[in-house]
Amino acid sequence: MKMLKPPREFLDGLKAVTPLALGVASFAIAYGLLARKAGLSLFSLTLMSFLVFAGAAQFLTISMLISGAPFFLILFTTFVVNSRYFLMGASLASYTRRWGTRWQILLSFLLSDESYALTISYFTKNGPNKYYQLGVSLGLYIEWIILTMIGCLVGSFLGDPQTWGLDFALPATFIVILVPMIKTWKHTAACLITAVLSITGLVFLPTKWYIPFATVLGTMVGGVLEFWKQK
Amino acid sequence: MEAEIIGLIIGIAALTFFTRFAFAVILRKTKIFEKWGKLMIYVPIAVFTTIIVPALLAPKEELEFSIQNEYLIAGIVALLIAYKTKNLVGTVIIGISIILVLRVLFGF
Repeated sequence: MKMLKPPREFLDGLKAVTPLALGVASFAIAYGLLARKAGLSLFSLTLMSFLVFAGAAQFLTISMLISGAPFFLILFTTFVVNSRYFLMGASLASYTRRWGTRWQILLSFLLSDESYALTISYFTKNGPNKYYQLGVSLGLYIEWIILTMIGCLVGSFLGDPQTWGLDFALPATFIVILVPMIKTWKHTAACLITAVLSITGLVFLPTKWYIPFATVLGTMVGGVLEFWKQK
Repeated sequence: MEAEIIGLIIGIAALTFFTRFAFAVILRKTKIFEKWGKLMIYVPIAVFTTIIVPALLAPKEELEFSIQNEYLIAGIVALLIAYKTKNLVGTVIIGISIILVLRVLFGF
């Protein structure tokens, strides 16, 4: 049998994940800690990381469990928070459409904000590559599961990452990823209008509805700017 | 209780997978990209702006539009560093340091 050597792009993907470790770690530990406080067993909170693998949705689920929200409301709210994946899936589909269904299922299951950020930056520069996306996604998946377990087990010794300002690591990561994407005045305009939309939605809409509101409208604003200038 | 929680987790997992998978399948057999491809470059811009801005302006779920908000100050500095250097680790570490300095020395 031939030696199975992973493609170079797969290793590149794994490597690309390392600078994100601090951001993912602080979120994972905060989740593990909160889940423990909510009375979830190590088994359930790890199962959730295994099956759901979505930081914001998991965090929200735990907070809603603590506040005693009914299950259907938890399901509905996590759906609203995750609605951004519809858009991410759509924007990746133009690159991934020729890959087989099994690849689509695997890579869709592993899609996260972080993997999307790295993957879309890579695809726009180097063209689509499923091994790169798999490397990034698997790296983040394994890191997420291990760190949520650590957060559950030793989180109480480490304390809440928020007191150490570690919750800033993720927004800072996304800032570094977003800034190079903004190349034209249309991009800048779309970004600023989305910023206003997200805050307007945050203030005036019920919990987390600002996410579908601002992402969908923000994308459409970009589209309008793009097509309007063409004519 | 444990069984109910596991049921809930499976429900959330199914819904989450659906949001991630739906458009990958629905759109791949269409010609939508020839027409709307240009719109798609605005998806990451809109998504990440929607993640970043509330995290800076409302770090504790409530709008805090003031210079007493350490996340906002660190965010503006991070934006400048990111623009100048594109250095991920450096931006993250300087940003967190600013938050800690503001809290410890200036009582934010």
